[in-house]
Amino acid sequence: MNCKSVQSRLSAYLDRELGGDELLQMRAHMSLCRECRCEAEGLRALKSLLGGIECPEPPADLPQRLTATVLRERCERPARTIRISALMFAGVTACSMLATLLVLNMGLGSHSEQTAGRGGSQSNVLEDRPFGGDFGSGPILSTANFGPR
Amino acid sequence: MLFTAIKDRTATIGDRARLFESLIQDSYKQAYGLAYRLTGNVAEAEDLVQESFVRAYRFFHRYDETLPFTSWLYRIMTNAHIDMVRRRGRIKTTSLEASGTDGATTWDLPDIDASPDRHMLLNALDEPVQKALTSMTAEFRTAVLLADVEGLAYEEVAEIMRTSVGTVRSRIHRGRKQIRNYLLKHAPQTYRSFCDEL
Repeated sequence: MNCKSVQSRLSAYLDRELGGDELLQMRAHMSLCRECRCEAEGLRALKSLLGGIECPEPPADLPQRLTATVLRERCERPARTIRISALMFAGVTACSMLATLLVLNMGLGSHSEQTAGRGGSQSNVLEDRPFGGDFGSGPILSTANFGPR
Repeated sequence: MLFTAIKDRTATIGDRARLFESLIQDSYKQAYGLAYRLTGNVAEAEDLVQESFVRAYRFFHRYDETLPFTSWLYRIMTNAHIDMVRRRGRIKTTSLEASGTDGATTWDLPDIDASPDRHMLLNALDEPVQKALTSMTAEFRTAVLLADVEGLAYEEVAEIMRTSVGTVRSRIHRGRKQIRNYLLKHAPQTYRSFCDEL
């Protein structure tokens, strides 16, 4: 290990972040190299300086203000959640109703077609009012056709 | 059923808020310390602490309770700090040598007698150190502060900064050298006296 590679690892060495062969090579080099030892001492002093500098005290009311800000956040979130939940509930209900209508429509439609194949008078009624595209009229038409059976 | 779910969720939110309030009480001083060192002034430090706690609360469901809360908060804070610096267009990329040459940063260092005590030297170096930190890029500054001021291991710093241990090692080493060069240039007498005291 030469001086350049040793000096590039000095911070990690001082922070005890080296191990194994790397650490042994560093120690071996520094025991012989005065320049690298001086460099290490300089960085050790700086590390000590950075660890020792004091920070100003936070304002006394800071935790209260932080809590108040977070509480405001708390008040906003449930409202939004409820709104989203209600919307989701309405959407799911609407979809379920539509699906039920569709299934009913299709089921009764096939039943009506079978019935139409058997009786002539019913077949005429169905031809007058076909299912085609009219979503709302399907079940009403089908119910009306059950009467004469 | 819907109303029961909403009621349960509201109760959970209440518990969550109470737990979070206690975490604020336990960690605000440490958080403020790091925020002050990152930003270099009181007003921005408060903004950063507030932004960090708000983000932490918003994503509190993602917090792994087996890990220290401060480590998680620091991760949020370092991201918030980088966002804040970018938003204000103030990422410092100028060299340390360039800063202070315009006469804007003058060091009114106190007179130090022949055998000053370490505490006095530390106080005298506090402002130049903070100026040196502020002159660095946010990434270098964060790595140095987390390692030297917060005393975290490189692996923890890497986890917080979401980078590799190798990158952290490089940032810390280069960051320290930048600070040392800055002090040798702008407060040489005080810095050398401090080193001699050790």
